[in-house]
Amino acid sequence: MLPFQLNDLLRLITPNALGAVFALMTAIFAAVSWVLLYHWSRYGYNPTMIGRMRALYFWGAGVCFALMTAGILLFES
Amino acid sequence: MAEVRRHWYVLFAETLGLFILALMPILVIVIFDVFDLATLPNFIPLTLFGSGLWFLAIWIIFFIVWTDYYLDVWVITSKRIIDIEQRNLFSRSTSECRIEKIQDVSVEVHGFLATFLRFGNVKIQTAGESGNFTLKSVPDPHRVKDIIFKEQERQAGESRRGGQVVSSPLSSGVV
Repeated sequence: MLPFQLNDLLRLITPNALGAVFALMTAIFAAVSWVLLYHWSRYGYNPTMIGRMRALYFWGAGVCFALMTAGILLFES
Repeated sequence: MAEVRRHWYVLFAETLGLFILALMPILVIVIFDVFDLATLPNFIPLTLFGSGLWFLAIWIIFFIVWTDYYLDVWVITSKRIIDIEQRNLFSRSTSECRIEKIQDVSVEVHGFLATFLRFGNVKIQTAGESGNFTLKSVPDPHRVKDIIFKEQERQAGESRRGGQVVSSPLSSGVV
């Protein structure tokens, strides 16, 4: 048994709450991406390597955002 | 010109914890399954959302660590050694010493992994105000030391011949 009522906790979660978390994470991601891309474009010594890592970074983030979006879309309030 | 970075093992050791943390959603799912909580309403959507959130946070942290690793570099040219240190995303320092100012170069390899994977520290003592340089955890430190010595000898020979240019042993590349 868990030391709390999980059902009560789950009732607090709404699609709007998930949307707010999604928006917050998008803002954090955008800010960090801007800083990383600034460094990579200014100090990236090997353009090929930086290009590959940039692609990997955005593909990986895209998969994460897709998972989050799927979670929101499937969520039934 | 040669670019020297820390050994890949340094990046691996710094990110190993992140890879372990990335497995947390699987652990949570197993725990929920054991406690028979997987039948709770919205379990699958919340798992998808939570996993995505978790992976994204880890992904961002991994790339911050990688950037710090990749932008930390020592550049050995025919004239000088440049130490570029990316301390964190908003802190960066650059220092350099001229090849002819180098007095001594020593190599330190400590530990089983460093010996097995062939990485170590290269310490450079200089006569100038720039003080001592330490190239930390570089791959093949003996080769780096040889490159510096050869470059120093080449420049000493060049000075003796009155500035006549001799081909550099440094080939363009990354060590």
